[in-house]
This record gives sequence, structure tokens and C-alpha cells, in this order.
Amino acid sequence: MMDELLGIITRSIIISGTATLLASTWSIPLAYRLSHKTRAGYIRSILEALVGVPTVLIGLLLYMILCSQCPLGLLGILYTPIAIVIGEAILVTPLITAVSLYEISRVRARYGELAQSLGASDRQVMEVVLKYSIPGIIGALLMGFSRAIGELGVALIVGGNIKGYTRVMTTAIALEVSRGEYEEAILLGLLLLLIVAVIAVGLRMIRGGRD
Amino acid sequence: MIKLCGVSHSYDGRRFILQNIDLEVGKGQIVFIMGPNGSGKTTILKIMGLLLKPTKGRILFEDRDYWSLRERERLEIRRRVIYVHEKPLFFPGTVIENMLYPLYIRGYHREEALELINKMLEENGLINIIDKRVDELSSGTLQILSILRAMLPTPDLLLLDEPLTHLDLENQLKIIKILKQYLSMGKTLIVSTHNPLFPRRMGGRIYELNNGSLREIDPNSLKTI
Repeated sequence: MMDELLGIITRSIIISGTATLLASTWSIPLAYRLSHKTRAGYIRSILEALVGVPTVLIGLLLYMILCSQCPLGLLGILYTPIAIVIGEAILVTPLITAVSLYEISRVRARYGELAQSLGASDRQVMEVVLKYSIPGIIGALLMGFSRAIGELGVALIVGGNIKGYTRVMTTAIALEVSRGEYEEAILLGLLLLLIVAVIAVGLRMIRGGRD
Repeated sequence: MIKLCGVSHSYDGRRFILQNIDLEVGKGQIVFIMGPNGSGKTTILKIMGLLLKPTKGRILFEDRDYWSLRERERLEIRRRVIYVHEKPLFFPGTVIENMLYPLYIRGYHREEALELINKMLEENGLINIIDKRVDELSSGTLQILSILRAMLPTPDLLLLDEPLTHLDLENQLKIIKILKQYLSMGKTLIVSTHNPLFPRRMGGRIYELNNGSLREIDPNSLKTI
């Protein structure tokens, strides 16, 4: 029981962490690129709207691409941790991009313009902007991880909740509730809450340090 | 040195804060831009400081159309121009770290840069604050430091946005003295100000910016602004 529980927690952290890192590889460069735009307001609104997209919808769309008769069915990654990683990476992309964009734009307006006014090249401006955006970007990644580890729709639809393979904390909770095993569901729920709370404290510390 | 040809600018695409402005500033000249709050003084300075591309019109720097140049050529020009913000801006850290930055990005060796900084701070009685954090300093000291930092790499064109705002009379006179010395080196200055003391003490041409238009004014009429 304990081994299974530890396995589920470790798997959840690894899958959500990988999804967050994967999403960061395109979200942060995208946010930096968008921070150049003087009229990024529309894009920001679209990103903020996409943050609230239901996870089951992303799960369903991904299923329709990855199932055996589907366009990418040949890859054979449906019901594997890779499918969950891809789905969660898509899920957290708008959140990481939107928060990073806010932070990078704020830093660019202050330190980026200062560097530029002193004669810095585009590359030197980028170095300055990214250097002073690091706490904000880490905050965006923590928020992305928090969203990924707490989602159910993607993990259930494209992961399949396979014991010892794709079962993560949220899918395990859903299963225990359906079985009527409320004690185990509550225990997993509390552990999930603890992880999210630790992230929230981390975020607060980053913001406190920055202000 | 720098010439604005038919420059107009709008931030929202509807209201033009600058309209069809022509202005030429030669090497070694000083030009003051005066006008009420919100008249576009900062905008015109940022355009001449090559930080902001105007919505319409051209910026000629030594007869070269700046915004149609390649990035490499633009950088060469930008390295010769420094704009100083109205509210002094600094990176988090110490005075020395901030003073090193404009020299570091121009490829100065650390020893050479430190020598220049020490000399400049020594001459201006600020050597005792070299290791202080910038957030511990008064707004007046920061204003002086931001101007000194801009002058360190000796840019050919220096643009100052309301440089006397946070200063008492003693420090205002100190800045005027520093800028006069800079001007005597053949450098070009463009300054926005509300303070009539400034052009009276420094000389130079004075322009008034109002309702998006720029017109040269007689220094003797300054009291009426």
C-alpha cells in the first residue's frame, strides 16, 4: 500500500515536472518575443482566456489525435506517461506564457529600457531582461506545475489510469472515490493539497523577495 | 548631427502626440525643449535618443536614415547616444555595478573602467558612495549619478529628460557646471526642462512643444511659459 502510494506520488511529480519543463521550452521564448510587441494586449487576453480551458477538452482532443486509428496513432503513445506529459504541457502553456509575459514585460519596461538607453545591443538587453525576470519565471513554472499536478481530465483520458504505469494522484483519487474507498482518497487528496501548498509558499517567498 | 524630418507619433494610432516635426541639432550644440506636462517632451527625446521609432517621418543621424539601417549599423550609432530618464533608473545593486554597465557593454576592460569611474566620482565628490547600494541613496544623488553614468562612455549625443527635477539649487548648479564642461568637449546636448534657469545659464536654442507642434522661442520670452 505504502509502496504504491509512494509510486503514485513520485510518478505524479515526475510527469507534471517534465510537462512543466517541456512547456517552458516554448512558453518562455514565446513570452519574451511577445514582450517586444507594443500591442500585445489582444494576445494577452487570448492567453488568459486559454488558461481556463477545461482539462477534459484537451484530453479529448489529444485522444482524437493519438488513438490507434487517429493521425498520430502509429506513435503508440496513448495510455503512456508520454501522452500525459504532452497533454499537461499543452494545458499549462497558456498559464506559463501569460505569467512569464507579465513578468518579462514588467522587467523590460524598467531594466530593458534602461539597458537600451545606455547603448546595449539587443542581445545585451535580452540578457538583462532575462536576468531580472528569473524570479518571475520561476514563479510561472511553479504555477504551471501546480496546475499540471492537480489536473484530472488529461491524465484520465490519455493516461488511462493504469496501475503502476500511468496512475497519478488525481486519477487515483477519482478511482478510490468510485470504489467507495474514501479514506485512501482523502489521504491522497491531503497529500496533493500539501504539494500545492508548498508550491504556494514557494511562490509567496519568491514574490516577497522580489518586492 | 541629428535631424527629425516630418516626425509624427501616436501611441494608440488615433491621437498624435507629435505632429509633423522638423528639427535639426548640429554637433556641439545644446537645444532645450520646454512645454507643459503631457506635451510629448519625453516622447520626442526618446525618438531622438533612438529608443522609439516614430509612427511617421525619418530620423537622420549624420545624414543616415537611422531606422532604415541594418541592426549592426544602428548599434554603432546607438552606442554614441545616451538618453537619461526623468526618474533615475538603476539596476538593483551598488553604485559601482551600475556605473560599470555602460562601459561593460562597450567592451571596456574592468581596470580601465574602474579608473574612469573612480576619477569621475572623485571629481564630483561622490567617491564615498561607490560601494553603497543604490536603494540607500537620495533621489538627488541618484539624479546626479544617472547623469554621470551617462557621461562615462562620453557619448556624442546626450539627451536629458528633466535633469534638474529632483535637485536642490546647489545640485542644480553643479549639474549645469558638469554639462557646460561636457558641451565644451564638442558634445551635443538635448534637454527637456520646465526650469527657465537651465537655458538661461547654459545658452543654446529653446523650443516649445505644445499641441504636438514644435516652435523655436526667444529666450527672453521664457517667463511667459
